[in-house]
Amino acid sequence: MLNKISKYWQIATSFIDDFLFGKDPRMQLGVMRFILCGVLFYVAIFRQMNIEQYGSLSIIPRDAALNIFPDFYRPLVQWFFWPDTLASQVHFLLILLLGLACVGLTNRPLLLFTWMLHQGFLNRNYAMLFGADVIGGLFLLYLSFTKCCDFFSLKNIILKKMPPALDHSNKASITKVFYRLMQLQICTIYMYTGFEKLKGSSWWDGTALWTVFANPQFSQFDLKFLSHIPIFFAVGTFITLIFEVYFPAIMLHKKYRKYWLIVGVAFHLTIGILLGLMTFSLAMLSTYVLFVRAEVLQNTLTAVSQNKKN
Amino acid sequence: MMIVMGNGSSFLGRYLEKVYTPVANTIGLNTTWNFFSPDPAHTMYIKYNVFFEDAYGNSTKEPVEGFFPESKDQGGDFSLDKKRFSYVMRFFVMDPQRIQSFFAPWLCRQHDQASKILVEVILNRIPTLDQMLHVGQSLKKYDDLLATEEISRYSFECNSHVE
Repeated sequence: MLNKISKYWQIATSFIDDFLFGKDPRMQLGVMRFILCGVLFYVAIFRQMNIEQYGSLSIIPRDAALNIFPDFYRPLVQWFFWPDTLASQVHFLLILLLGLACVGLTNRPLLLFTWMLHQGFLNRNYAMLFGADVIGGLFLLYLSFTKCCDFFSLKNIILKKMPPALDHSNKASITKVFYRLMQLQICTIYMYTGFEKLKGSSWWDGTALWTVFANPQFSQFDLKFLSHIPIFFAVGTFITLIFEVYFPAIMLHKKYRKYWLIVGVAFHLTIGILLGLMTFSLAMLSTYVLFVRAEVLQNTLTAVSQNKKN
Repeated sequence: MMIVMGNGSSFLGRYLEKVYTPVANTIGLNTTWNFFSPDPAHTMYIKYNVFFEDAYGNSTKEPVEGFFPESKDQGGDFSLDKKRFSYVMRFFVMDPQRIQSFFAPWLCRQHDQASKILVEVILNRIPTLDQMLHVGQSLKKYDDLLATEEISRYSFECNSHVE
């Protein structure tokens, strides 16, 4: 009996060890960093146009910035450590750091500092948050613990340097653990997004997408003509629910994972184009790379670069 | 933490609140992932009138009428810098206290010598898909079916808000 328990214990620990530390995820993290920081860089450039809303002329006065958070969501730390008068300059610095992070010219402490600035602006005006800000900020934090600049960094490309092999240091182990945490995080987000929708009568009813597409404040195009094809909304609504609720379960299944990811790409590109939510969509899609095997990613990138050369 | 905080108001979330909620809030992990849920919102906007009166109630300047966001119910503000204001409007509409505490004082600051602000929250209830089918799917009828409602109205004295 004791032998059996010991055997199962060894199998379980070996599985967990392999799951958490077995893979070298730096290539996936490099692609994710490039897309995510690129999106945040783009969002930040537009935020600069609203910079008065993060300074002394803001609709939310500085002393009320944390008070407007509902009690349950109020941060413990006020990340906006700079005075309101310097908001524009600090935001320029954030844009610069995000641009550098996008091309891989950053490191872990600097990326953590970039996240602090980003989170500071989110905290300063909680009323002005985009989904892309929140999702992007969260994954930027995770990325700052990883060696995400080993691949696809401008420095390596210019110096024609190959990324170093991953050793068994603590840094490497933390990279692997945070890679898994990010996978878990995106699955959690999809699962709860689906569950939250199940609370709504229009999602159960199969008409929620109609309300979205007929609302000119959401929809970039006049899509009311689609009411001639009501089945489009009914099927679309249920596909959205099924896609989101079952995302975590399917990601555990190697065989079906790629199909779900393809549906996800189509889903996010559709809402990105039709609802003008491309930054949010790209922030979400940047995490899909984490579910693609390194060799598949390598082959795809090689094929793309060869196509370009031809 | 990431699994529980997706539904932080649940029993488990409340039970573990003291353990890690402050940390989760600080790193932005305590978020309900409720995109377009529980139900997608209808079209909303804020209409406001700014009045300029002296101490005796005499008008000193023509009142100003405005909308927030500027595009009213027409959409079209999809540029990221303009789109943020639609999000701000929804943030205010969710809790009328926020209109009183932040939006009205901000309007007072924007309009020099303003004495009073009248704010109305307008909702355009989008017809249901069933209603659309009943009218023979004629898009011309869409505007007839669109129900405009004033869901709240507030009046503020600027002087009490001017800092």
